[in-house]
Amino acid sequence: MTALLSYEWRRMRSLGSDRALVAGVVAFALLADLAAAGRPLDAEGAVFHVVQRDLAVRWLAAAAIGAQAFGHEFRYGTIRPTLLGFPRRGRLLAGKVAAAALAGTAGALLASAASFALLLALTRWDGSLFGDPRLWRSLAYGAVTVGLVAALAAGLGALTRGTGLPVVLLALWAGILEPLAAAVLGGGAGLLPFLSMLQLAAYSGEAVDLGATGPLSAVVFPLCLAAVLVAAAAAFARRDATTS
Amino acid sequence: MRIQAAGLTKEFGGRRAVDGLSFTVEPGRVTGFVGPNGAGKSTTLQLMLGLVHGGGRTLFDGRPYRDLPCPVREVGAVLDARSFHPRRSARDHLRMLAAAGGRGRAPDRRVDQLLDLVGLAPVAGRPAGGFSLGMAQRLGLAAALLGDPRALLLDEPANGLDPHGVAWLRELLRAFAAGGGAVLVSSHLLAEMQLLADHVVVIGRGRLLADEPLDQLVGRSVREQVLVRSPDAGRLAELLAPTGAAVDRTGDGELTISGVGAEVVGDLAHEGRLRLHRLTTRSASLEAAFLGLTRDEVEYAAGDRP
Repeated sequence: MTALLSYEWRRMRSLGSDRALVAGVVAFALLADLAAAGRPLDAEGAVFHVVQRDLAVRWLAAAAIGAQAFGHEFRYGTIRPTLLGFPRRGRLLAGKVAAAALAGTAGALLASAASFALLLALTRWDGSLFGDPRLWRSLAYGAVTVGLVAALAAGLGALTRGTGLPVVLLALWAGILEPLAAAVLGGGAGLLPFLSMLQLAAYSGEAVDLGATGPLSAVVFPLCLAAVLVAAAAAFARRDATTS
Repeated sequence: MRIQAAGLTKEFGGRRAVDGLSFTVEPGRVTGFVGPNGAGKSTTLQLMLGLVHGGGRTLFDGRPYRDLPCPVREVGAVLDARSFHPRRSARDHLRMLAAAGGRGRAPDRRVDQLLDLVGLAPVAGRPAGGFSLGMAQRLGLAAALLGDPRALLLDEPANGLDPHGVAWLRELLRAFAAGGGAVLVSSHLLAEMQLLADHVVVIGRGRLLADEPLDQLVGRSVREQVLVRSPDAGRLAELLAPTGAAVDRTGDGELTISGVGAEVVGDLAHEGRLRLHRLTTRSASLEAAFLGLTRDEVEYAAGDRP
């Protein structure tokens, strides 16, 4: 697995598009932080600026990075040399998904750290800010949700053999279908995959007016991810390694 | 490394592209893999490496490809020269693939060695998307050699190479085989294959047509022929009749003779005081043998006229 993670790291690092996505997420956070200059900053405000405000942007970037894990391989025919290096397809899928999740989480942590550092320089705050456990919990959950979205996109990339389609599907799912469902379902919509993650990463556990969803919200998205990965593994194992 | 393919079969939409193909690639020699367009050569190579699913199995020193502990250190393969991301540099492409060998920093040195070997060092930092087919073939070959493998499986590696490149490839593969490596190489360039291969596997419509040493195939399939042009061609044909030679009149004053050598034809002409304007020998060739073997197996035949 170490060789596979190293392979994926080199694959991602050598692509300008991946570097640009991470740089774009960091730049977006830093630019948005400028609006908070001179204001007082508490833990809840920090969570908003460092995690919640940019979560949708980070999910989108993570979806693009994750989708490339398989999408580019099929589009450019590199799936063949990749499979020659790692012929066990289940292991290859697991490695790519893990690498996408790690990259997404690391990218989110990097963006949050850069954003937090700039905020501390621009705003007025006191030491009690760092003693609030909900700040650190939101930072951690926020980063993990970005990693999970990257992993889901990697799974959808293996299923669809494309780069654009997984991103479009996830954008539709998170940006249109779930908000529509929330309007119809009310509080129950808090258990929809993306909304549950939004709630998890919030300072109060309630990002949108759906009520706190409790511990169940932590398993909704992972269950969806598992279902997609099982389908992706079955399809990837069965299909010939032809290019799209 | 000995490569044994047994009963390889693949169907596409009910049509059999590879039909129960079995052959062995021995170490220490170059095995040519030839067949008409659509004969199933590329599909066979992909089947052997587990890239497409089908019947039969291929064992590399007794193990399927997927069970090799570190496949890239055992088998190097180039199935499609353009299998790279167009915006990734040649060096980054190879460094990425080298990670599959799992040797830490050592692959980076190996990458630079191979870029030198294949002549791509001056363009190693450029995006591979701008490479010509010949450069892409060289990059593919470098990728195949990354793990210092014991066997090479190459699909049309000479496509796009200039004559110097073809000669360089020939020397490289001959040296690889001389070092004990097993080489299976498909090509449409039969004259080149005749210079390169020790053994040939010929397929047509997915079926095995021949699997034997190159010399044996060529010698068995086509006899040496003597071409003669003479104003006395008719008389010469009469003189040749008692020798049992087969004489074809191939044009005005031209004869194609098989069954006797050029010396016999020349001596008979001299004894009969016949004038010869041309007396040449046409050696048996892989191309002639191939055309004879695959006459009825051509999937995509061209029409007679445009």
